[in-house]
Amino acid sequence: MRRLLRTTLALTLVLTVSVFSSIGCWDKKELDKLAIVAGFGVDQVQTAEGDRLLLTAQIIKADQVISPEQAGGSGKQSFLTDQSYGRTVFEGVRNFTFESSRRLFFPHNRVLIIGESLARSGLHPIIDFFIRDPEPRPKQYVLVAKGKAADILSVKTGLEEIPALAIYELLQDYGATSKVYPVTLQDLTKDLASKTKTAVLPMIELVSTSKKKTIMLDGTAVFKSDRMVGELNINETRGLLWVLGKVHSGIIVFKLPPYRHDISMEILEANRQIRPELRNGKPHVTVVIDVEMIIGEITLTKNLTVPRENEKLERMASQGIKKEIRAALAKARQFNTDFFGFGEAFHSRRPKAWKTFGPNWDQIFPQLPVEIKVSTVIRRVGEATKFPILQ
Amino acid sequence: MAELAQGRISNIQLVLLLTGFLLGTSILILPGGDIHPDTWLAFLLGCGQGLILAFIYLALARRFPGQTFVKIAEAVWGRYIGKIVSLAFLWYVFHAGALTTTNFLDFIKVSILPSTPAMLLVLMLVGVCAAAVWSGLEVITRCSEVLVPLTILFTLFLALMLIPDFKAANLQPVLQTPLPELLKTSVRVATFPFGETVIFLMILPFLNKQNKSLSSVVIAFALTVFILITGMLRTLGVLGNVAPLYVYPLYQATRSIDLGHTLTRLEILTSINFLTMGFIKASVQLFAFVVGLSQFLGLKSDRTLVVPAWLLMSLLGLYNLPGVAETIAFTHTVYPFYALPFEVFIPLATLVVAWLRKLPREGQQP
Repeated sequence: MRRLLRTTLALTLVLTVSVFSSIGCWDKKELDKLAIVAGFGVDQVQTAEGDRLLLTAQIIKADQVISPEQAGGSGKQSFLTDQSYGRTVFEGVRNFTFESSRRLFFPHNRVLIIGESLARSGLHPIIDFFIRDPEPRPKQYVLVAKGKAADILSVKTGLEEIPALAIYELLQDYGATSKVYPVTLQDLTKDLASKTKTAVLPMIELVSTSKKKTIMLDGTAVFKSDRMVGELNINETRGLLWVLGKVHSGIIVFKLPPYRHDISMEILEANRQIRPELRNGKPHVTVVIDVEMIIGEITLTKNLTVPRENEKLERMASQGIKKEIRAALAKARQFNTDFFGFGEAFHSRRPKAWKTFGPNWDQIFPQLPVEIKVSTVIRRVGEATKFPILQ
Repeated sequence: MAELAQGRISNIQLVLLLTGFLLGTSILILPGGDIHPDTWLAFLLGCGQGLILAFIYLALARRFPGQTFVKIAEAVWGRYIGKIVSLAFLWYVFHAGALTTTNFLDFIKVSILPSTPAMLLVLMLVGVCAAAVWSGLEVITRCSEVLVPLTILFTLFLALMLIPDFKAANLQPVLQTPLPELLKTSVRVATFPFGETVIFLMILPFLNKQNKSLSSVVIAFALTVFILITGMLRTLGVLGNVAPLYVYPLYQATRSIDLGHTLTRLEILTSINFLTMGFIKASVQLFAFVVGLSQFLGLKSDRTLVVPAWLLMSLLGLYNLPGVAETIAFTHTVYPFYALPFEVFIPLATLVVAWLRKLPREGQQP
């Protein structure tokens, strides 16, 4: 009996203590005291006091994110954009508390958008906060806005309740075309820290028609060190993705001579190898790309499902891919930015030779001979053998 | 004497206890400084050097079975010098425990609970260790029986979850570090964590079978170096050139786990690993200090020292280093030299003198 009493007493004590201590004390974070940030934008603006950072936070209004049945009639926005100014990002983040009753909470932030003028003047002053602070996650996407990030974050999008999440989904599904290169904060950090590989970031722009405004992914921003120096268009971006081995799927459209009709081929699978070599003591890179394709759509009435025509198609597709890569390579040489990571390939696979020419990589890269080998195989033809409407 | 050491520990238990002790802080703060593609080699070399040191400790423990280092020092060096030697040793044990506490505190303050008062955190963290020491060596050992396998499991699980982010190219180029640099790193690894086995001179006497201890130590070292290399490879494979940028690269790498938006935020497992292993390490250090001090002072009961030792270790842990920058600098640059006398000179000199004096003499066996 006494033992039972003692056990009961001890248990009561332990449970009481744990009830009071498990709610947390100094570092407690209650949902109704937090402003959950879904998207965050940084711009450089001129104010009366001089250059300032304009921070834009897209905050989820948790009480407005409602079930689809209710959503129809309400018409209320389920997000809020808040702005603040600061000399540094951190100061700006704390300045939000002047007007926002809740503290900004970053762990659920999905996209970080940087205004173009800020990107052109350099990322170093702003990127540290997102790496150093324990709240922002390394897997959030980073983008450059054509124009101001603040404008992008204030637009309502079609299907998604929260625009920032819509942007996130757009980047996640880049594989449908492979013409957008999604970059996470972690990737960006690595590129900025690398001695030779330069950073690239996807670009997003605001498209205004007379009826409504929408946002659209368009091209890639190219950086030299931390400054944006140029852009790749969407085809050059795919050229970059081929070399980086990030192409998942996508469509290649070309004309098969002598016909004047378009043929769309779908990329099923792509593998790439970068071979850093030394030829006569000079660096030389071979990029080998193996692609598996499927005929997606043909608009001429000839039967192409015969080996001879197939070979022609394969050759044309390979040429199309080479053209994309060459376009990206031309841009890389023009800006002298090694965003393919050829330098790192030499560093990790030819370390001895790298020691001799590595320090001069900036002079070597624009003249670096790059050989591109593409081989395409058409394995499937879809569900039809010929153009379905018979002549 | 030594009421805390009641209940003996078996050889399997020694393996787990020593592994937990060695993994203590090194499971979060990778020994040897910045990681680069050759760090694994430095780990292996450091482990080898650590084994040589462990032979010295084991030889000493075998020569004086059932005696802690405090008693051994007194027998070998005589009454007065012996007291000085064991006092120095006890200081090292105590200070190492305080350093473990500091590492605990830094990590929690930086990454988990930034605004909770440090004093409260440190008292609670060391308080758990003190409770374990109060309950005795057997309880600490049994804790390690549960916690060490869990840590191994978590480590492997995390490595598995990081495969999507893993890039083998980050591990190249291999064997490009100059030899002196590699040796320097390996010495750091030998002093922290492997050389810290010297503290087990206070634990080994309570072993069931003394003559099997060598194989236990070798297995524990192998297990530790395996876990460390796994952690190092997966960290470098994920973070690549930015790994040296972070205060806790191992923790940072696990933050990037994101499998289908559901299996994410798994860095908490790294924290759990560190908290559990750090608990074992700090408990062993606190235990060694309490038992050693009570033998040094010739106290009848050593349990009376647990509470004062808890408070003192908390305080030293709180105030001995002003900040994270100093802690990192101390761990990587000062500690290898600071630990040298305690981990190498004192045990080696004691062994040599014992051998020269042909101690322990026949008939004097306790």
